[in-house]
Amino acid sequence: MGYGKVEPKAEVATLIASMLEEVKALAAPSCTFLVEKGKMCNDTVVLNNGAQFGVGKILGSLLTGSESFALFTATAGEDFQQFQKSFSPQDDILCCFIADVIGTLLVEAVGDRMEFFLKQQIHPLKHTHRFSPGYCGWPLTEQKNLFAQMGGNPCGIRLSDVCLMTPEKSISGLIGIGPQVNEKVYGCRYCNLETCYKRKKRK
Amino acid sequence: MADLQELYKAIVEGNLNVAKSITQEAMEEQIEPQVIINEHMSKAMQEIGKRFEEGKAFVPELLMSARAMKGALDIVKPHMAQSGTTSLGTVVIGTVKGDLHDIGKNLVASMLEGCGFKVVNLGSDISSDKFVAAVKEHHAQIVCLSALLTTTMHYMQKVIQALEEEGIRQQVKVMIGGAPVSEAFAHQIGADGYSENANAAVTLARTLVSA
Repeated sequence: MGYGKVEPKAEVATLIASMLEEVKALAAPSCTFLVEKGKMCNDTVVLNNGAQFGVGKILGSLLTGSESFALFTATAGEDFQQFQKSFSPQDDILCCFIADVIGTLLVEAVGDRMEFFLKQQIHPLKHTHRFSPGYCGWPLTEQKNLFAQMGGNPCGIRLSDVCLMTPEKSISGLIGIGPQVNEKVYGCRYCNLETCYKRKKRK
Repeated sequence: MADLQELYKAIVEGNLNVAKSITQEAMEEQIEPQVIINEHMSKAMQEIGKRFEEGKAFVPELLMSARAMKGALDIVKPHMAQSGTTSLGTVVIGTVKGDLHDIGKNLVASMLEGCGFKVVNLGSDISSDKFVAAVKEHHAQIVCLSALLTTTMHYMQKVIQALEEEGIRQQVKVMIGGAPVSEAFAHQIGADGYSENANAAVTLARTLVSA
């Protein structure tokens, strides 16, 4: 919310605390991953089951050395989506904003949890960061391919015709796995997407 | 007697009930709406906007002030027609087709409304036809286009083209906003301006309607 080290005013702090309590009581976040053997072939992930993902040049280089791939999804869940939609932007924009921030933090935390489980399963192998369609030159339309590989509606997430996810607070993508993959490498210097919001924030 | 300095303070502090109560008193005392709005309410919003720009206030505080301002304005509105006072202008706002993200757009809508604009919020996933129809129907001075995705930001240009094709581009200013867009992109697609946050959007909208 931009506060950094500044304490929110009491009214805002109380509201955030009470909404967090509500979310704790109702949210049912979930995550899943599917590990498949495969290899990088130029800029394409080729799984042994025949599936392919055209991840592009940037991710192609970051995934180099991967011997298998974890396809993943994570979501804040349908109940959270309902909670978020219960606030009207016309009448309660402050709660809408706070709910949006909570949802973003929640789904990223679920993503971290998914990575924790993955790490346990693949130990002692290394893994890359998680990469998602729509970033670093990997077309968003590849969501369809990804979801098809994961059974259609992993974690109950649905794709719209333009490949957006519902519940909105969801993430998806893949992670490279192998003894030699680079765990740390990522960031704006590897991506040429001038319009990315992460790049804009750094400027 | 209505303490209009307290009204100013209530809006800066985002205190809705106090703002409404003082405004009600002021209306009963038949104080000119124009005086209340220009001398107290708008100045309060300018103050919270200034604090936001200086990093002394944050989005929640902005929204609370906008809510207090809107609550007070709702009380003033019925008296505005009688006194000849009008809104700052009409704004049509929406997230462009293919994009369902709307929190940023709603923040801007809320701030514009709180600062005295009449706002027609079309929602998300809005086609160029709907933008054009809304601009015509509401005689909007400004249309605000929002997008969060790099895949949908280019649709903004289609909306501008549609406004041109309908012959109404010169009647309406186009503002754009959203994570992937920038001032340069606004120039590139022929928009009239870009704003980085809800507070800056209000400043830009004020500038555009007075140009």
